[in-house]
Amino acid sequence: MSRVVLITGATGGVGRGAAIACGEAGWTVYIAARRATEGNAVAAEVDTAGGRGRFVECDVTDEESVRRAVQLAVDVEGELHGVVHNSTSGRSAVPVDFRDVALADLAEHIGVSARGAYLFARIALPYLVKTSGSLVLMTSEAAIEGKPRQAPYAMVKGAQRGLARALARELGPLGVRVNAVAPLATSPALERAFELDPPMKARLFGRQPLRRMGDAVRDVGPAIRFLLSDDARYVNGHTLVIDGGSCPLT
Amino acid sequence: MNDVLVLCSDAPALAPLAGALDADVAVIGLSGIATAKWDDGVARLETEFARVAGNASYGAVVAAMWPTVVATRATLTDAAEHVWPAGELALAAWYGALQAAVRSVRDGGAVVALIERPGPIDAGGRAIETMVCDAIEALVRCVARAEGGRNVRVNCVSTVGRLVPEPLIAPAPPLSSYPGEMVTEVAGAIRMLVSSDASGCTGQVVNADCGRVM
Repeated sequence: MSRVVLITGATGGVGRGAAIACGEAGWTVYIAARRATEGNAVAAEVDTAGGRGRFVECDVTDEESVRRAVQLAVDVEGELHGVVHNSTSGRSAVPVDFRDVALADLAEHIGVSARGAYLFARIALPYLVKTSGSLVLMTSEAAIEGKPRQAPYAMVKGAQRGLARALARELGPLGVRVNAVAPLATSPALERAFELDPPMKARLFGRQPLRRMGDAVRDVGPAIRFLLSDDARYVNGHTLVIDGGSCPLT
Repeated sequence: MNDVLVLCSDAPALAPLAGALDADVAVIGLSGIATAKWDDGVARLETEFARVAGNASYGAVVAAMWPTVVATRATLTDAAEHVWPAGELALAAWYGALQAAVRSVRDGGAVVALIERPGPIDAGGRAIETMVCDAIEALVRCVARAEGGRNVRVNCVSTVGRLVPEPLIAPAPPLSSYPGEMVTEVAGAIRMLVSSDASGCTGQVVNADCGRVM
C-alpha cells in the first residue's frame, strides 16, 4: 500500500536512509529540512528508488514552519500516513565537558529534538488519526547508556524516549502509534563525531559484534519503514535499537 | 555543616527531605518559572545556581528540581500552550542542578537525582513529566561515566511523588504502602545509595515507588 510520509532532517545520514527505503516501497516522501539543495537531491534519490520525493522547507523548532510543512504535504497529497522526526542539533557531534555547558547552550538541543517532536505530534495528529498513521522519533543509544562527553545530546535523546512512551499511550486510543528508533549508522554526524573524538570510533568498533558500522540505506532505513508500515500495526511505545548489537543495554 | 546537601526546588513536597536525611539544604527558587520565557528562565536559573557554593565539600548531594506546582493532567496534544515551555525549562533546571551537585561533592562522594515520575503504565496525561524523567535518567548515566574517574557515584531515585494517577490502571502496585512517603521509602533509598553499601552502584535508577515500575 502506498503511503505519504514526512521525514525531518533527511538531507543525509539516517534520515536520508529512511527516505530512500520508503521510496523503494513506492511511497511519497516529503524531505522536511532547512537546506533546499540537499533536500532536493535526496528527493531525487527517492524518485530513483521508485518513490516520489518532495522537498519542503522546515525549521522543526518553529511552530509556524512545522505547520506549513505538514499542511503543504496534506494539501498536495490529501493525506499523511507517517512522520519521522529525525532532525538533531548541529551541536550533537561536538564533545563537551558536562560541567562546562552553559544552560543557554541547551536551547538548540532541546528545540530541535524535543520541541520538534512535540510540534509534529500536535500538528500532524489530525491527519495521522485519519490514516491510523504513526510517528517515529529518532533517539539514540546515548539515551540508553549515557555518553560522558555528549551529555546535552543524551539528555534530549532520553527526552524523546519519554515522549514516545507517553505519546504511545495517549494517541493509541486514536489509532496512532508512536515508536522510537536508536540507530547506529555511518552518517555525516557520526563521521564528524569520530573526527572530534577519535577514541569513540575505536570504542564503537570494539564492541560491535557484527564488526561493521551500519549503513543508513540498507540497514536502518528498512527498519524505520517497517515501523511506519502495517507490518508494525501492533508495535507501539517501543524503542527499536538498530545498531548491530553494539549497545549492551537493550 | 552536615555531610549531605539537599539541593532542591521550592516545591513544598520536598520540604521534609533534608530533615529526613540530616542534611544541609540549598533551595533553588522555581516559583513562577513555569510561565517564564526561555531566556528569562535560564538567566534566573543561572543566578540561582550561582548561589550554590560548589566547593566540593560534601560527601553526598541530593538534587531534586521538582516543579513548585503539579501541572493539570492532560494529553500532550491537548495541553495548554504554556505547558511545553515549562518542560523545556525543567530540563535546563535539572542540568544546572546536576552541574551544581558535582561541583559540591568531594572525590569519592555520591550524587543522587530524585525524580518524580509516573510509572510507564501511567505515562498517559503526564508526557512532560515522563519526558523530563527519561531525560534525567540519561543525563545521570552520562554524569556517572564522566565523574567515575574521581570515584563519584551518580544514581537516580524515582518516586511517584504527587503524580498518583486517578484512576489507577491495573494491576495495582504490589506494596500496600504505595505511593510511598518522602521520609520513609524515598529517604531510605537515597540513604542506601549515598552509603558505602552502594559503593559499587553508579549510573543506576532505584524505583522507590512500591513496585509501580516493574
